[in-house]
Amino acid sequence: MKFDASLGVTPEIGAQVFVGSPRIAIKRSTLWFRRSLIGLSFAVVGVALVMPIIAIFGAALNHGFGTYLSSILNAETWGALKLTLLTVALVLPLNTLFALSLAWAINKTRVKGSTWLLILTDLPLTISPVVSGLMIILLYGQRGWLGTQLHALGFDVVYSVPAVILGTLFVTVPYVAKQILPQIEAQGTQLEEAAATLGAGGWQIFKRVTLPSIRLSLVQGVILAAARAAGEFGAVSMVSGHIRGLTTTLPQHVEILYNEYRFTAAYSVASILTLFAVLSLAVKAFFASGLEPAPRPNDPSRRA
Amino acid sequence: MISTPIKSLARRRAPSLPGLVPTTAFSVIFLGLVVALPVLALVVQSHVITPDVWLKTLTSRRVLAAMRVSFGTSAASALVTSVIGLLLAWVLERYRFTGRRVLDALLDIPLALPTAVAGLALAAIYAENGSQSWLGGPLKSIGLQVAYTPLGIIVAQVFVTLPVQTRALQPLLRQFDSTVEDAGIILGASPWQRFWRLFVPHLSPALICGFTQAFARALGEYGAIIFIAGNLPGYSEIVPLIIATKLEQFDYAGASALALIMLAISFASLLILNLSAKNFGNRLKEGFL
Amino acid sequence: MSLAIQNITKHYGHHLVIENVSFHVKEGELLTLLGPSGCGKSTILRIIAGLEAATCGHVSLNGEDISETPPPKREVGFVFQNYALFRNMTVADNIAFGLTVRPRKLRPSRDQIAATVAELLDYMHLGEYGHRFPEQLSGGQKQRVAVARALAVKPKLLLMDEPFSALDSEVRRDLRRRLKSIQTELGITCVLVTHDHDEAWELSERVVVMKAGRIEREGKPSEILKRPVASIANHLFTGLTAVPQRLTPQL
Repeated sequence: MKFDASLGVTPEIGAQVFVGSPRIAIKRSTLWFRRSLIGLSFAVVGVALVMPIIAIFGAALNHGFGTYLSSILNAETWGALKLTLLTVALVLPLNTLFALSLAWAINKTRVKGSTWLLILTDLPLTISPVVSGLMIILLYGQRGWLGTQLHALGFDVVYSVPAVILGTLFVTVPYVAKQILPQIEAQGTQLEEAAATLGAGGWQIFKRVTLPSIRLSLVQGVILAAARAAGEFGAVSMVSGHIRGLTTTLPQHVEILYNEYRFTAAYSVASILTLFAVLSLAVKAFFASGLEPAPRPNDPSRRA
Repeated sequence: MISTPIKSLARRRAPSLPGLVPTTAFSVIFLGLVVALPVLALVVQSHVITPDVWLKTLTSRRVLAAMRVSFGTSAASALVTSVIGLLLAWVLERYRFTGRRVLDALLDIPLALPTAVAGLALAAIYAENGSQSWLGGPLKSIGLQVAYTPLGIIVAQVFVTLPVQTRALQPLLRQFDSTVEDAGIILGASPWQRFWRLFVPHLSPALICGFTQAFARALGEYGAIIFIAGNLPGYSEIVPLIIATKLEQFDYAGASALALIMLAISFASLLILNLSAKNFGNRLKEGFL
Repeated sequence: MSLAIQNITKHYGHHLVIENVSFHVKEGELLTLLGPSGCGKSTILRIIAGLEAATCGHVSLNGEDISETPPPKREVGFVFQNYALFRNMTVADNIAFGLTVRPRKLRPSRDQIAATVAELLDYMHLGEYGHRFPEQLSGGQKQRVAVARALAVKPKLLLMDEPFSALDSEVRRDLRRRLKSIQTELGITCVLVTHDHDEAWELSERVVVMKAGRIEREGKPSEILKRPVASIANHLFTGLTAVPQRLTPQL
């Protein structure tokens, strides 16, 4: 009785009971169909998704490792890196706090009007980053609503660091929330209610019951949000002053280098972001709870 | 609007857990300040935009061309990602093979990789000459030019939206009742018949959602596109770029006009997504991101 | 159609699920596979249907070995515990499904299909439900649709996997009786899987008692009750089952 477990071929009719029987011909075609689909999937993902990553490193190391290092280790890059890290450090906690609050309000205490809250949360996902940047300018710019008040107070938000932070904040609002909300909703309120009957207070319930139960999705959400925050480009392009070393984030810096035809430098700096992205994915995969184990060998859902 | 049933509903659903007020307050304030206010700022702008600005913006040949390019490429790429998404979701959810988890993890690349970096990478891959050309050269020799063409835009959009349809389909495939498939097998349906008559109807809400979401995403994409598209006005220039250009020229009115159109489309796509999720009663929101 | 199972053994990986099970069913007979959950009885049913393959052993229908025949060619009808109705199709389309997927040459005409469907709807007392969707039906109605759907393709053998366990007792009793009368009327060979002892005694001509992948006892209900196997005795004396009047032992 032999079956190719690595390809999920199950002991189906004929394939293993009577080796050499004519039915094997039919089963082989299913096998080949599957193999080709799997192969196609890897090919598509390889060309579409993996190749770009390799291309970045290829272009960065085009002129040797020495040039690569000097492109990265300089004051401009360092300034951009600092701004990027600052942005991420400010944006992440705020969005996480929001996501947890929202999850609690919607799913544990069933506040009304939750649909509107959800729509607002989803909104940044569907808005072009350019439009997001425009919105920030309209609001905080010198002639904007809040902008005029702030200007009077001596704060110039747009074309400075705060604008970068606000723009990134807007764009990343949905990320943590979308990771934890489905899981919180699926878990219901039973555990928390049990804790309440046992005398636990609100904060205790949250800390000792709710939080541990969504540990994995929370971590994944935060990682994705961090990667997104670091990589935000469109919105930040609109609102930053493009002042080198002061108001450029890493992605900005990459664009500037590219437009100055300093290609190797551009790709080198881009590789930092790429590395960060790859690391985030690796960490996220390590914490993976998303992908369920594949169907058991004799699960019926393994036809074709 | 019936008030009494709602009141009794509120009473029945009185929270048994504490913390309603602080969490709701924080959420509302946060969303209000961070999301609603900027959106409102744009919407209110519509008052400031005089009709002749609307006319000038919407009849400009360049803008119209950009709209054609943006909508056309977004629709095409949404179609492509939907097909690829179906393939990937099918393979990931129904087969067992070494590297399955890796494949699933790789799908998140577009979510984690900055769009500008993606744009740069695509520019490198599809450049036709130069020392770093990967696919560009070979493709050009068979007549396919990717860089500086709408095809390049589509390629960039496909990259950015690739996980969308897959993630939308995966939960639905996972929850498909295997006994229903068994019934189909026993009753004599061929694999194709089972696919079209059993699976596709079950998956259609997710297919619609995935397509809509991919379309909206592709429409608004900026960073990944501008490095490979060449941005030739009338040919490969997209609407977000025109908005950005107008902004740089301080043409707030013109930029806002276009932005409002894009915003309206965003809203519409959100509505479609929420409606179809409710209609079919599936938990599609898991697959939303 | 007579059915014969010979030496069926089944492994899931290293786990032995069924060990050397053999039995036969005469034409027109209703045999019940009785046993607790997890004893492998559903798996045997699926092996007979061709949804799974045994590690070794044979399945024969009317003396013909069908162990390698794919499910549709076995002409077997299957009724699932959770009905497995096609949610996106009407009741009528569900019932007609087996007929509409036949290759062109073997497919009956639209009118013939419609007539068959109407006949079955009538037979299963589902008259006005033809254009309803499964989610609009009650559990009992869904199960009747499932049976009608299986019968539409005129199977030689009817397999039922705990068909009534998801229903409440009133509906269950009702459907049980109906099923028995259908089975006797059509003379169709039937294998029923259940963990409900009452069902086994009431419906079947013969019962195969299983436990942990093996056959414990086999025979007519009356024979088994006279000298019950430990598992059944347990069940009887915990009062969970109503022993048919005529068999109440003088205790």
